[in-house]
Amino acid sequence: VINDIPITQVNIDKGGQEHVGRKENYPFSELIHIARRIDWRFLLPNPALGKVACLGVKDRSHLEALQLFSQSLSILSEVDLDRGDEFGYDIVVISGSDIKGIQKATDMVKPGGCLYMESFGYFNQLLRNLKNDGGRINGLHLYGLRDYSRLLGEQGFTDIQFHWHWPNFRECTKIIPLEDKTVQYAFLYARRSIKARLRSLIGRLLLRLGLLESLVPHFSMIAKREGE
Amino acid sequence: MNAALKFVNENWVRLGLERFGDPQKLTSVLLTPRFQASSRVILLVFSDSKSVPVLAIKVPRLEGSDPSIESEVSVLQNIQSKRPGGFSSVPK
Repeated sequence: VINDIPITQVNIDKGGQEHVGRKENYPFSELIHIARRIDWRFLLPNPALGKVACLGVKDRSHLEALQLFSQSLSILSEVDLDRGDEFGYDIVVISGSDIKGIQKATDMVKPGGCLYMESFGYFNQLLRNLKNDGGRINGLHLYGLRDYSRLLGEQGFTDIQFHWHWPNFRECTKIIPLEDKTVQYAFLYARRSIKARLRSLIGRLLLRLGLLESLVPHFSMIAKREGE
Repeated sequence: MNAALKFVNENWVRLGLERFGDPQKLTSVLLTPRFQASSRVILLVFSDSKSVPVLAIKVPRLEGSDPSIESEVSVLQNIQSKRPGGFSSVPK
């Protein structure tokens, strides 16, 4: 099922017949390894994933982890969203930075639930498009963190946070809030050399100018829907 | 606010953390080690008054008891008890 993306709504229930959806079938070490892909859940108000929906998520390891550690996982396509159904998911996971996709995904989050988005900084997106689409830059979005915050605020979301995933989503070892203090620490990170201090200074300056998100290759956004 | 920060926030006084400032202004960097035996994530917690982390919170990736972390707590408490006032270089 997971390999056949994109697909119209598929619901993988842990209680169903899917062999791969049962944690007891995995040795502890493998379970830990799979769980690493969703370490971002510790950024949520509740790391226990309930009813989860995915939109545009193509990373197989991400889907596998979500399937294993959520109460249920639905993989949705934009067709499902266009139907305008009420969904009511605890967590909606989206990949990409398309504003229209985010607007649609917000309707799927239940009050008190969270939206989690993984996206790429502008320059990373540009490189990816050049590499994957033969030089075309169609679909390239230039949205800043303020744009996302404003959009989600208008949709009734609060506690909006942005994090830099270093070095990338799949091999992540640090998830750093895009805030002055944590960016400063991340650049220094136990080093006090002149080079590290200079890097830290530049990083904080870029953050204040609203440019850091363009340079950060991999970032995520978490927002909570009001109402609970 | 994530679950770990929420816990710290709600237990700020009970845990004797008032010296670190306002619990409403906590933020954290999440370390997600990838070495094979790593079964936990670590949150480095920053308060509004310090530019270095004031707390480290270890959270098991999987539900259930974590004997190794209980053992670590026991060792740290044992070391701190060796001298009145404990050791500033050892986590409390």
